[in-house]
Amino acid sequence: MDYAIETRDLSKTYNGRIHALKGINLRVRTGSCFGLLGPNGAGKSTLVKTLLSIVHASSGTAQLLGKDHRDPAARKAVGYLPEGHRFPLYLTGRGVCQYFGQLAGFAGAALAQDIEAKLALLSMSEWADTRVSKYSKGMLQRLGLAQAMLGNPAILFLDEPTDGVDPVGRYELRNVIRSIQAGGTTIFLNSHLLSEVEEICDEIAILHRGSIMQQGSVATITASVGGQGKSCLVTFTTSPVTAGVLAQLPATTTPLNEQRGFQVSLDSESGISALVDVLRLNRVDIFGIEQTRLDLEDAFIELIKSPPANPAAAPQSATARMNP
Amino acid sequence: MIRAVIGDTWQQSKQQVVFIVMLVVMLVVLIAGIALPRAIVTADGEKRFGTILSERPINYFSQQWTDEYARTLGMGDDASRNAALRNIANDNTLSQAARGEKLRTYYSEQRRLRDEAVSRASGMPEYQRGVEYFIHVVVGGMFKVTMLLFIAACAGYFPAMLSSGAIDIVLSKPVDRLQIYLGKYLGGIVLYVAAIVAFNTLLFVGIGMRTGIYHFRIFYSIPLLAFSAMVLYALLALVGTVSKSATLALVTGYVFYVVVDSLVSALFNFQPVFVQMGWESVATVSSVLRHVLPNFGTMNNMALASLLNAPIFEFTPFAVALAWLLGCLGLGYWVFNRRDY
Repeated sequence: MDYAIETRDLSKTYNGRIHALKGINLRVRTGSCFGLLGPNGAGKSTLVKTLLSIVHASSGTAQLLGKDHRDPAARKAVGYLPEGHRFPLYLTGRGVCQYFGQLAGFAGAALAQDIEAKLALLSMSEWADTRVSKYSKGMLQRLGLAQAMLGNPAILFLDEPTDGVDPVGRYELRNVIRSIQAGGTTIFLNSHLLSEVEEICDEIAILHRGSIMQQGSVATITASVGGQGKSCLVTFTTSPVTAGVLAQLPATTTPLNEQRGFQVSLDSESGISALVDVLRLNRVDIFGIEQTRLDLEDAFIELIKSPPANPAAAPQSATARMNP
Repeated sequence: MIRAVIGDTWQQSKQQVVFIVMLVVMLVVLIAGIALPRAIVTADGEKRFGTILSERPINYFSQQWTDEYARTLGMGDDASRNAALRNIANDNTLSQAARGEKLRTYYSEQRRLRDEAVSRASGMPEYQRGVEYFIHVVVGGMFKVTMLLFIAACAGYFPAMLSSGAIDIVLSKPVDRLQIYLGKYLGGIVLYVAAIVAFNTLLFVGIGMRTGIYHFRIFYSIPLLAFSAMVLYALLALVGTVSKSATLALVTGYVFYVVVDSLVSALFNFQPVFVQMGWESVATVSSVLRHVLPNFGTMNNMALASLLNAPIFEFTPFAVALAWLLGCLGLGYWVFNRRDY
């Protein structure tokens, strides 16, 4: 499989005592949208900055598109929108794109055309010749994305791209990100907006205190966290069920109040039929079946609240799954 | 890449009031420098140097040409001459005869230097000397004032580039840090040197048209003036990189350019006095400082002396300044390259 980003035991220690990243092992598939989640101070931005050599790694290796991440050439096909960026206030939106585009090695008419296209894509053409100092937060984010997209990079690092953007703007930005990914660009998204990540990303990693605790698709992560490997919670509303019938069910149940039914955690939806069969065999009337999937937020909070003692040993952890 | 950084520095500079003030000051000095001088033909048909402010010729400039030439030959200024004479007179270790001999030697040397300067002057029309010294004053004045403004203008270049949120995108581009550091450095210097070159060129043409004397040596001063600015800016870049503080860079720049430089020059000029007074240690310190700290005053004097074609080039201040330039750039880059942002 082709990987756009690969790290091996990547670590960052500040002043010899603050371990911001602890042996990160990560592989991001080319063309995927990868979401990095974690609470404040987990090391998300440090990881991105380390991959881009803005922060020097203390140990370990990383590759971007097969090249050592410390080699400037590795950043040739990389776009980056940092969190809390500050563009030179003396420049216009077009000037910002011009400056960073030239720094990226683009020039001339091709760059000018690219700038026009990207500003138009992000609905910023109207403001292209306005000084950045007059931009709102949302406009700055869109401009940041525009400059990151110049030259159609193969990898796009987005650190909190919708931070400070209103709901409509967020919706538009999400669509832009989807369209970029559809074009084959690998997206590496840092965000604390779980719903956003859940909606956009194919794969997710959860970073906590410098270590990756889980990595995989949303379904995989919620399944691994949501009640000992169960991915869905099903509520059966029924006529009264006796303890004997409940004992026959191939799952552990939690009775509802007033014997109105019970709740059960299942590996997957396919387990529901087996339960229905047992209930009907015992002539229990089924009035309703409601399935509640654990969402990413539940899984995330669960993970952060009670992290495994050794993340590397946790099921589905990045280290365990990702090392070749 | 370099073009992008220089372009960005220019955009940044355009927004700075102090940079605009610097350009305005240059323009005012330039206009005054071109408008003021003129040739005055005396009753005996001789062309003399004068200004538009008076109908009478002004001898001051041509006389100063000779004095300045003599000073650059090694006569020293009035203060150092007086101090040297005073010390010979007050030296109680000398016998009357020895004191007399010493004074005779001193005066003889001074006379020789003066004669050499006068001899050089006599080969040149008084009018031309007047124009040349006038150019010397204009260029020297422009440089002294604009350097003070240049320090204020460029002290913030590096701290602004390195501020949190601003440097991240720059470092994420496929450019190594050496290019970024040197690009920012060259961006500031190129603008200032371009301003000096434009000033000197316009002055060359303007005064040439006004006086008929196209003094090509006006361009000879540019390399050393630019070199002084490069050394100072390298120091500001280092302080700005280490501290990320424009204020600290500004203060350091002024302390070095004004206070330290004056102190080193003064100590060196009075070195013979310290020796005479028996303050050997102070004399040693002044000598050491001159070999350790950059001496902008001497370098500027060398640059301006080249306008008069005076045979002066001291290697020590140049070598010390070059060492500071390379040291500051090297150390600044080392810090920039090692640091996480």
